Amino acid sequence: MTFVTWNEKLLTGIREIDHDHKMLFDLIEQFHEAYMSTDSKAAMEPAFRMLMDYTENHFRREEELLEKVGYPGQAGHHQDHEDLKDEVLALYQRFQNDKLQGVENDLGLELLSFLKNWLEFHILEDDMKYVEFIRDKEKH
Amino acid sequence: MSPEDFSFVADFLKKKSGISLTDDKTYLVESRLLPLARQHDLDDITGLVAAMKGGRGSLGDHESLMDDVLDAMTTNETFFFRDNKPFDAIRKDILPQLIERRKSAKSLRIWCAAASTGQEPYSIAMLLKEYGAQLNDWRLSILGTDVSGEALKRAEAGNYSQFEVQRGLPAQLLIKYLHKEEKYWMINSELKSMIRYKKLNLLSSFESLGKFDIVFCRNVLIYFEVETKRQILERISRQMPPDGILVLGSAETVLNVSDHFQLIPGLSGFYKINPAMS
Repeated sequence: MTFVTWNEKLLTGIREIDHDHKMLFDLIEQFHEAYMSTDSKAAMEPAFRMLMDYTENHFRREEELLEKVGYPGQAGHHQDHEDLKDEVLALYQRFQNDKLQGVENDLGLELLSFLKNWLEFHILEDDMKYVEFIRDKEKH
Repeated sequence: MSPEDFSFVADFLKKKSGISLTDDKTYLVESRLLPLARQHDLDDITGLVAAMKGGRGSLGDHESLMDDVLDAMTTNETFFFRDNKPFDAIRKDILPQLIERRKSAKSLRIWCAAASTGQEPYSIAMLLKEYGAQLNDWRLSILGTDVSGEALKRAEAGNYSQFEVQRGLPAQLLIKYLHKEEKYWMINSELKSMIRYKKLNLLSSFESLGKFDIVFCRNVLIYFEVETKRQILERISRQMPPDGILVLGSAETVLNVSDHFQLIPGLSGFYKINPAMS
């Protein structure tokens, strides 16, 4: 049983973006696996760092694409990415600072659920808008 | 990652574990091996694959790197009493008949062919213990095998976090068969003594294992191609007496895969040996 998996509903049709999204889902999954299998917050750190670094790279690739195609909503999209990073780091910090360790700490699950929900919502609502824009542009 | 690197990893995985990876799983190889590359101070997957090929001597033990790759690519997450139905069916439908047939030998052997981190074999051991006085003077033995050495280490240790024991394990069984040491729940030695663990690849020979009255092989055959599945099922059937029982995952089937087993009517996931093939 997995915590989170990519599904066809999230398909953008842009190969590099879909690849990144699938990667991000599996990196969240691995963070969840780490959260469940250890009581040591330090042992979870590599999985979290990996996820955040890949997220950063994905955002950069996506924003470069949006600039290239002249997407009018690019600034807002960039802001959404910045807000996500801030919010995740704040939640992670709260989790790290809390005296409860690992899986006994509900903040870990809160963070994981936030990541999962944010990613799904962001792809379905925000990413699909620029996908539509790119498709329209290609038609003309 | 490059198609060549993907092919190399896919071939390695196929050879070592029998698991087939199609091209659409490139992301999975990347997401599982990127953290491993980091752990080994390598820049990227290209570096990791080069190290797998033996291109970099400074990594030290090449074999342990290959084991790490195998572990990273095989998922080990399981639950206690994962999917309650098969355990209920064992209790209500399978055990009463088996006990009747084995009442003179007073012995039951069970094999968990994808034991992973031990939750399934421990769940079966608890089920047998809870079955009642009828089994008190029986020899009950469970063999847990898995391809992942890391998973088996955890299974043998029998230590689980609060979160892990919360999933599927009823509180009365938790208190009865596990005890808490600091933050971990440890399986009691009495339960542990019923189970032996052994690293085993489903592609290798089972002949030395002996015969089993019940074989659990849940949610693992999905990773194999049809022909490999057929061969594994046939070899499993040879490790079972004519009245042995095979338990597969509820979403799995032997239909169009193997003639060696027949579905037991009304018991989803439970198979008996096909007498025509034995």
